[in-house]
Amino acid sequence: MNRENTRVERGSGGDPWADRLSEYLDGDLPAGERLEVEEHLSGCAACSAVLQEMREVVARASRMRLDSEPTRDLWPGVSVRLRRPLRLAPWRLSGASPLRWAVPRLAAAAVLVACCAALVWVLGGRLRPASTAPPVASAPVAAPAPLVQADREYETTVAELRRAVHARLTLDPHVVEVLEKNLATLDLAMADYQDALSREPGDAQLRSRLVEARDRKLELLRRAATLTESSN
Amino acid sequence: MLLSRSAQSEVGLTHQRTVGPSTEDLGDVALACKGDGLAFERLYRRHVARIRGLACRMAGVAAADELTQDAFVRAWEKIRTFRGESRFGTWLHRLAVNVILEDRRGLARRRVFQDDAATAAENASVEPADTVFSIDFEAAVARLPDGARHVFVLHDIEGYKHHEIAALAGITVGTSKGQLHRARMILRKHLATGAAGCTADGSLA
Repeated sequence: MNRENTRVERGSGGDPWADRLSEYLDGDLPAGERLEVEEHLSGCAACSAVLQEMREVVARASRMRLDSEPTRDLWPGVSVRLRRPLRLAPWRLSGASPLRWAVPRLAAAAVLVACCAALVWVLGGRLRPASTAPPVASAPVAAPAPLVQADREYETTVAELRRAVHARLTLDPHVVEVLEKNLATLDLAMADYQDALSREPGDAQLRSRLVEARDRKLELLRRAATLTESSN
Repeated sequence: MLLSRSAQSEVGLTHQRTVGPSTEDLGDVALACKGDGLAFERLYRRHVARIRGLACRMAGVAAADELTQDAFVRAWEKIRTFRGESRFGTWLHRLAVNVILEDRRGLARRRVFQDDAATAAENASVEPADTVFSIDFEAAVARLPDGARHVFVLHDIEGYKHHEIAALAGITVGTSKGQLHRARMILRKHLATGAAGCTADGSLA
């Protein structure tokens, strides 16, 4: 028995019986080997005892609690790291009246303001002393202009600013990523506003929101272009 | 005869232990795929304890919170790859295992440059049987060598099969079986040592 115990204690060190006990327990052995092990077990008290102890280990493991509630809320630490921009109210998919989306629209606008403010803060903080970076929240918003007349000028300006930013691109890649994601968020919002306006052309609030989003985008691009110039 | 979990699965019993609700998850997954942060937060709330439990056992309590957050951030990034072929909880669990094992592999690489003595202490196996009388089973699991602990947690606690563990951990099936055997052989000593203090229901006193 002692000799058998010694062999078992070596574990996977080469003992032909001990090394197979886990597989035997799990039903992983081929039929022939399984019979061999059972034959051995019938005459070896030590291996039988080890097997019984292994069964107890497995049983104990199966009774262990799986859940472990955090002692603090981990969600804030998760949410701040979610990079993919949140999609805005999908009224264009639903076919419902834009009025139904009044609340989400306002929430989306708040998110946009926060995005822009955060990005400008990041840009300012990385590329120039924070004290010299004017807060975007206080930036004046241009008075709404007739959309149709402004479209061409707006697109031209955006294209020029984008070229200016990319031509002198010396920004931190992470900042560029944040910039692009925020621009994408604004584009998505503007597409939603335009879609809603096509159905509700008289909605002054929608027009105002669209102009505001365009201004935000222009401000963001102007800011990025200015900072790339100042960092060169 | 008491069958281990993998043996149970072969006869049609449970495989991976419960991973949380499925029907509630489907709607929130669809919304989260469209960028709905509130839906993703609901998924987080339903599954965070399960994922943290896994992280605690795989990597220790000290690293569990951060790894739990890492797993959910990864889930957000990858959620569009969830095809609904399994429960969301199962998908999330496997993703979390990957995140944890990646982190542990990185940690192992960093340890190459650490003090050998400190590394040896961190990796120390369970102490000899006569000095661990008061260590409970949970603590004994936590003190298993890394490889043995990872396989034991995934196989005997979480219900993965060896071929699944091999794929997740980048090891062979034979290595997985060897590590499981090693873990069980170490842990059985604790049960044998603590037998004198067993309570009526079989738990250690």
